[in-house]
Amino acid sequence: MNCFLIDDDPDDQEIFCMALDEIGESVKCEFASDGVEAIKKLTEGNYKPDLIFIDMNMPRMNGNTCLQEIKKIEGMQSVPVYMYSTSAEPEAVAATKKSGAAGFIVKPTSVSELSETLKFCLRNNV
Amino acid sequence: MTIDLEVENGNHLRLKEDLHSFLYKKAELKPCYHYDCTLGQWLYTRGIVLYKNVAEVHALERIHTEIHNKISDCVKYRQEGKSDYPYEDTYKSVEDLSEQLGVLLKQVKEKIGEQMKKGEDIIYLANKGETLNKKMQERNADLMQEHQTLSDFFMQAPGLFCVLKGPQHTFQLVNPYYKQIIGDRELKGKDIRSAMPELEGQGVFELLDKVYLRQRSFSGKEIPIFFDKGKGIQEKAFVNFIYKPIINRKKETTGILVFGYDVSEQVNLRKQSEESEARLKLAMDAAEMGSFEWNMNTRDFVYSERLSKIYGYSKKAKITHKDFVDAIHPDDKKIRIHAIEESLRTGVLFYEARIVRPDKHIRWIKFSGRIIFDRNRNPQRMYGTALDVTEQKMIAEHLEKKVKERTKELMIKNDLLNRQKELSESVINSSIDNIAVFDTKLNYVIMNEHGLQAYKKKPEKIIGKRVDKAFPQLAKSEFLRDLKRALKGETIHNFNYRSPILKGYFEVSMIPLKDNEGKVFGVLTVAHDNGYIVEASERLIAANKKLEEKNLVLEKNNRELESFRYIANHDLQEPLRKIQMFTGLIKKNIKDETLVKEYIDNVSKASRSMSDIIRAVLNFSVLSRNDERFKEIDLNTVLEDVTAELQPVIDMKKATINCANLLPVEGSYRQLKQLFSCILSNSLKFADKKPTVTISSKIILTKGVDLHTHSKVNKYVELIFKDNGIGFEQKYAEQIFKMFKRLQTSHLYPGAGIGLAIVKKVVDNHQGHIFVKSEPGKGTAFYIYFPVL
Repeated sequence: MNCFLIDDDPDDQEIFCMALDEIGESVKCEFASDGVEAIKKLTEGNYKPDLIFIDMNMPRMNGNTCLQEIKKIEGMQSVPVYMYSTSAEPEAVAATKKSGAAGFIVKPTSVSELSETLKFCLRNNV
Repeated sequence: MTIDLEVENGNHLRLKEDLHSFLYKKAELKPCYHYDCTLGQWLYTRGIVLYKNVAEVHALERIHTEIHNKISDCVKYRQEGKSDYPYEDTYKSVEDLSEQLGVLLKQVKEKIGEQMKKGEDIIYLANKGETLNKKMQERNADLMQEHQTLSDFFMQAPGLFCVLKGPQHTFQLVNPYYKQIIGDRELKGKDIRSAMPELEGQGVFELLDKVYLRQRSFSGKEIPIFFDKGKGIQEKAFVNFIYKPIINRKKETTGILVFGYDVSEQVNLRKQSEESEARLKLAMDAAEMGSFEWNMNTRDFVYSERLSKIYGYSKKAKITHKDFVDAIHPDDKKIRIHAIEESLRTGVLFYEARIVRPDKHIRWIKFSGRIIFDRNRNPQRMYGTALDVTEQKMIAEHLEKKVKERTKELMIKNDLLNRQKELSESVINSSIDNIAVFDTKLNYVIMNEHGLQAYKKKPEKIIGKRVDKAFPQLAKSEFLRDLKRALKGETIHNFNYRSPILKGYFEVSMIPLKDNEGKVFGVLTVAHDNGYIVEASERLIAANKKLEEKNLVLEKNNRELESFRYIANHDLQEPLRKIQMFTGLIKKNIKDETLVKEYIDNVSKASRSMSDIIRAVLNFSVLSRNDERFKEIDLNTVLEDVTAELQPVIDMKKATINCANLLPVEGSYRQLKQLFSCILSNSLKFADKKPTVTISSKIILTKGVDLHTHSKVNKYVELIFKDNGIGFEQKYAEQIFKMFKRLQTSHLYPGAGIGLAIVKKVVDNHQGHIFVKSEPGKGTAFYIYFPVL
């Protein structure tokens, strides 16, 4: 199983890894610090993750734009994309759903909580 | 009698001159007839008799007569004052005739001059004898004529005339008139008894016998005699006659001369007049008219019964002329005297006066009558009638009273109408609207005082003038077009009419004025000054604009509030979440000292970040309350203060800040300090080598710079901050001024992401503009423009 997290916050990247470790299964994870970097990674080379997580608030390109750009990439339309954000503004949730997001995850306040959520996501997309 | 024809020529030329003097120099001229002048006398006693075969003499007579007639006419008409007589033409023809006369006189002298000298008088005398003989014959003829006339007179006399002969009164001579009266029968040679047997018993025969025997004349007056006119017709005639005995030299009666005339007509007329008098009396009684006759010589006063009744006396009472006069009301005596005086002049009496009856009743009497004068115009008698007109008078007085009352009523009404007129005029004139009335020819009939004042015109320059003559600006105007429509019966309201005369806005009403039959006879226009409404609406527009501006500010504030909400929800949430997250991890790994230290670092980093955000938000919110009074700020001082605060960072980064003398700007010291602080912090923060910041300022003209918007300001202070930092792509130039927009990840360049939003806010507060130019790796330059007020 391959996950791809796009988030500019290194703390969050670390916490995300901890949560995946707690799940304990053989889940690999790669990172991008912002949308521009992520698009680059997805278009150049042969990288095709099974699941994508996008932080909503990033410099240069925000989460929703990043989602739309990914959906334009050939072969990426079928990959489930989860939005990942501190807050869940209803407008933002609706907008991402429209853009084709599979779900909206509010960043939890503990690692175990996050790992539970991710477990659920992984199970749904086996 | 001899004449000198040359002298005569001279005489008549003089006569012509005299006529000229008379006509043009007002000299006197007596008319001289053609048979009076010497030439005329000669012509009529000698000339045309002796020389009747000489044509020139006859021509002379004709011309001569014509000359005298024309002169006589001129004199006559001029003296009568006739102005339309052709005096001048007549004088010219006299001039021509005089000339002809001269020529004729010469010709006559040539023909008969010698003869005239020799034997004119002989011929004259011979002629005279002939004349005498003729006169004798004429005398005889006259006598014959006289005889015939007498005979004719006797026979044709309009009277009865006959001669009776002998004691049997035998008709010897009877004139035709006599026969006509008594009927046509043979009388001559018959005695009267057998000729006119119908006279038997009428006393005629006896009378004739008496005259015959006694030799005394008898005359009878209006004697009625019945004649038998034959065919059984009896006719009555009234006859005046004289029987005169014819007595011979021996004093014996030989016959009777009868002369008489028929007076039947006079007698009948008199009888008729007596009858009509009776009828008049009846008529007067019916009209209740009294009559009187006053002999002004004998003072006898005769009156009708009706008169005494009118005067309130009994039938038997005797009224004298004095009573008659005394009864006149004292106040009306003057009227009578005046009327009498007038009647003595004109012969006609007429007056109305009151009389006082014995029982003190007052009656109105109308007197009318005539005065009879003798040949010397001395008044003789006065005839008159008196009519009681009291009732008529009372009716007349009643009517007069009614008329007076009605007149008074009308005057009151008139007064009322006048007052109404004054009232309506004062209402019109006190109106603050411009009111005018036009007739069908577009002429001004009325303009109220407000209108006259507004147009600064005198009434005589407007009233009676056509609208486009009084105001040439109105020709082809909306006003004139509407006025013509109103004259066709349309009521017009123009709510926003712009007057080309008064340069203002009016609400104009045009109301057609119609008579009882609905025909338009004029238009009433009322123009109400809309200026204040327009002004009010302008104020409203201004207020709206202000509101819109306020709205924009509010919208902006709302957007900012929205940002604050986002801050609360997201930016403050995030460090909090991290703090929770790491404290959870600390709890879990409490025995691993290294991990715990690391997590505690993370927690303090997150709480610092939170503190930064709260401070920045506070700073920003203070800026939103932009209610400071601006003053001139020395930017050099601001820069000094800011560099002092940032000194630790400057030292740490080994940064250089270059600055020439900065120009002052109008503004808030506190806000400008924030601006300097934010920009310099950013330059120090986003640097990958030793930071260098260069600050400069200058005055520029608005037209020399593109501000991307319209500006009312002419000059700006241009303030430029230039650094050698990491820069960014120019496409992000707009985004950087938004709150919490980061171009860089926060773990490399920590910060609240609010600094440039503050900068933008300060610039906005100063009515300024800000632009940024940047290139990744080469540095960033901020261009800020503060208005020079």
